[in-house]
Amino acid sequence: MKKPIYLDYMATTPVDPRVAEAMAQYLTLDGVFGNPASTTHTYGWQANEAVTVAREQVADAMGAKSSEIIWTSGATEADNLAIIGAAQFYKAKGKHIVTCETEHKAVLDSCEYLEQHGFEVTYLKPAPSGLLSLEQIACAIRDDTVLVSIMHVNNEIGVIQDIAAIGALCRERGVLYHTDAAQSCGKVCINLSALPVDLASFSAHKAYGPKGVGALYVSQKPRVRLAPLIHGGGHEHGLRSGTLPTHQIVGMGKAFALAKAEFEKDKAHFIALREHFWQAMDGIDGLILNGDKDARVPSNINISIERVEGESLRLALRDLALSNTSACGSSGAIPSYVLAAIGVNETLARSSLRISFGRFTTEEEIDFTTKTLREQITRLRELAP
Amino acid sequence: MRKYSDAVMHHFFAAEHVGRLPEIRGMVRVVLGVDERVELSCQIDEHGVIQCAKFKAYGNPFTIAASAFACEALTGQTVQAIKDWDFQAFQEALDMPEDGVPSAILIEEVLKEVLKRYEQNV
Repeated sequence: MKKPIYLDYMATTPVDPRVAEAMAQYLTLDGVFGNPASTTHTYGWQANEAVTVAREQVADAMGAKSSEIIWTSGATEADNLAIIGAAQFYKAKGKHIVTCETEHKAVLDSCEYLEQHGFEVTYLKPAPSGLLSLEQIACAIRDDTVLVSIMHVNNEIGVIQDIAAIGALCRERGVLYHTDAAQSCGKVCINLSALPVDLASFSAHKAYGPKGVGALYVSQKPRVRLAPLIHGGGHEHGLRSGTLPTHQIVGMGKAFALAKAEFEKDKAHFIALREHFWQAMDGIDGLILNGDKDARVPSNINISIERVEGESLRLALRDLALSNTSACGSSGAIPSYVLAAIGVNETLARSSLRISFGRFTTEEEIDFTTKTLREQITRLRELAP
Repeated sequence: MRKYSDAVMHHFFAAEHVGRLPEIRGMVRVVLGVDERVELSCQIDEHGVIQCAKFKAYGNPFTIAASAFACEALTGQTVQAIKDWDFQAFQEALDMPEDGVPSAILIEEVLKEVLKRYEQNV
C-alpha cells in the first residue's frame, strides 16, 4: 500500500494506464506527432484523424454532437470562454449574470473580471445543503440577464445541482445557461442532447485523463455564439486558436470513453467504498457531513470534525493525501469559501476534510484511512484540556 | 499541509508528558488561552525542582509541540529555570517560523504563571 493514501481525486486523478498508453502513440517520431492543422501531408492527416476520434469520444460520453465540442487547455479556460465569451457576444442584450457563491474560482473570477468591465453579477447563496432552489434563480433573473452559470457537481462538497431544471428555467426566460461540469464525467450521467444546457465545461484530469486539456460544449441547437478569448489561426471554429495538443486530446478522448464504458462499475465501486467508510467510522461522534446527504456524488465525503483543531488534524493525518478545500485554495490558512457559503462556521471549516476517492482506491486503503482517522481524532481530543 | 521542522514533528507526534497530574501538595496547574489553550501541571518538590510535568493542549501543531517540549525541557530543572525560557527560546529550540510565535508566547505565559503561583505558595 503506497503512502500517503491518495484521497484527493477531486483535485486530480492519476492518468489511467490505458489512457497513458494511448497518449504515448502521439508524441514521438515513430508515432503520430504531426500538427492536426497540417493539411498537406499524412502526418497532419493522421493527427487530425486522432483529434476527430477523440472529439467523437468526448461528445459520445456527454451525449453531444462532436461539432459541439471545443478543445481548451482545461475547465478553467472553458469556464472563461463560456462566461466571458458569452457575456461579450451578447452584451447588447444585457449586462447581468447570475451565478452562485460556491462556484469554482474559474467561474467566480471570470464573473469578477466582467464586473470590472461594466457587467453586474448576482451571486446566489445556496441552502446549507449546498443546493440552490429554482425560486432563487428565477427571482435573480432580470430582463437584462444574459447568462446563468451554475455548476453541476460541486468540487468541494460534491453536491449535484439540478441542471435539467435550471436549464429549463433559463430556456423559459430566454437566458443562456452554462454549467461547470468539470467534476461530472464518470461520476454522474450526462446526456447533453436531452438537457437544456447551452454551455458546459469539462476537464480531462478529473476523469483519469491528462492535465492541460479540457473542452467546452457549445450548443448548436439552439445555436450559441461566443466571442473568442484567444486569437491566432482560427482553430476550433475560430473560438479557440492554437495548435491542438494531439496527445492530450487523445488522452481526454480515451479517458471519457472509459468513463462512459465503466460508469456503472465505477459508481458501484464508489458506493461500496463510501458505505465501508461510514461503517468503519461508526461510533466516532462529532462528524458533520457537509452538503446534501442524498444529492451528491458517491466518491465525495466532506466532513467537519468537532473538537479538533484543523491544522493539527491535517498534520496528524500526514499519511492521508486529502484536502480541506479545493486545490485552488488549499493553503490551509484560509477556510473554504464554499463551506462558509453554506453556513459552516470558521472553526468547523478549518477542521473539515474533503475525502475524495476514485477508480483506483481500494478497500484496504479505506480501512487504513478510517483507522488513522479514528486514532488521530481520538488522540487530538484526548490532548485537549 | 505545510511543512514543519523535525523538532516540531517529533514533539507533535511523540507528545510525551500528555496528561494531568493529581492534585497533591506541590502540584501547580495553569490553564491559559482562548482559541488555543494550554494546560500545564507541574509537580514541584520542596527544593523547587520540577519532578514531573504534564500538559494538555488544544491548538495548532506549534502549540502542541511547544507544550510537549516545555514539559521535557523543564522536568528535573528547578522552577527558577523557567526564567530562562522566553518565547524566543522556544521558537529557536523548535525551529519555528514567525507564525509559530503566538504559540511560543502562549507557552511562555503559561510558564510565567506556573512560576508566579509557585512563588505565591512557597
